[in-house]
Amino acid sequence: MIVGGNTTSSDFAPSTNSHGFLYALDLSGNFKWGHFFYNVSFAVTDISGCQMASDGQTLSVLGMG
Amino acid sequence: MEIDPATGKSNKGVYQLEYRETSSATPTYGTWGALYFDKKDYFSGKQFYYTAFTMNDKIEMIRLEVPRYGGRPPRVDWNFEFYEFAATEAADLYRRKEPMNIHMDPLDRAYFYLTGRYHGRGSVMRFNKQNGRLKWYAKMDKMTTVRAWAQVPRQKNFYGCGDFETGDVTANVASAEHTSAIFRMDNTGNMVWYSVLSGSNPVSSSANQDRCFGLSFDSRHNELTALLQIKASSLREYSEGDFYDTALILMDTNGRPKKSETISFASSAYDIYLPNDAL
Repeated sequence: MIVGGNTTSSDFAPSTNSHGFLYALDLSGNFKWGHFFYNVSFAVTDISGCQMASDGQTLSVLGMG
Repeated sequence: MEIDPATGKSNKGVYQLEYRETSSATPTYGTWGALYFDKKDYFSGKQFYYTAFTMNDKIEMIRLEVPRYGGRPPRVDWNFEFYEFAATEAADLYRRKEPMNIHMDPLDRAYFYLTGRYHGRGSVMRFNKQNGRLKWYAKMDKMTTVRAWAQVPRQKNFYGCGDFETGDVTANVASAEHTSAIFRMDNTGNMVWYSVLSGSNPVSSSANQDRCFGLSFDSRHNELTALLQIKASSLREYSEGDFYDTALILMDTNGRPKKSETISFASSAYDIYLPNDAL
């Protein structure tokens, strides 16, 4: 399972301004990986959706700068 | 952008779409998640992103060619700006829009769907991939937006769900009454069935608020599961109040519920909110 969205929490990202994030869990709920997108050097402030690409190998992610 | 789902790494494929009105002014954008990456177009063999979003409150739909090998930048293959229902329309309602999801037709590789909201109501549109031309458009008079979809593999049928803000009182549905709705449609735009799933708010003075945020189709058992954000007292067991719980409803292909499961914080009166297309 992959979850994406926006966080304004400094617990999950470096500061309280908007950061996009993605994280992955396995089907038992174990955390696999997670990323926030730092809103200075890599300006993605929100993740609005994601869907597997046609080959089923990569995840296409739409976000807002 | 393109992510490896096993590691979360994005080593390539970060693309930025931006239009500058002047050297210092950029438009206001809105995204709801409408994105699909076709890595081998059935006709040309090229890689295309299909996406839709709002720019200055108008829907833009784009097919972006991404060169398979380095050396050339991405190129907009075609793009369309949707007709804007302007101030001559009687109500602001008709200018509300949410390009929510893009998905492909598994039977006819020449077409794709854009679902969400257009002209103030839930919408399903079918487009030709090669030129972006509209094949048909279904407007749901009893739905405010289509938030999620589920395609039946190798069949013409697909399912959609969302909600109906019955009073059209505001663009923000935080306090208004809304009912969840699910439908089954085929690739010619025929509505096979439409079903409303809604209940009563335990606090009788508060609005009924039930919305559908996710759908999943199990082709092995021919069953549909809907993910709902509900206040319906008929589906909740503990400490009912004017706050949202989550419900999963298992249905057959005709929309008849088989069983349901509610997820709540038991005696803690916390809202559980869901994102669009969340299942």
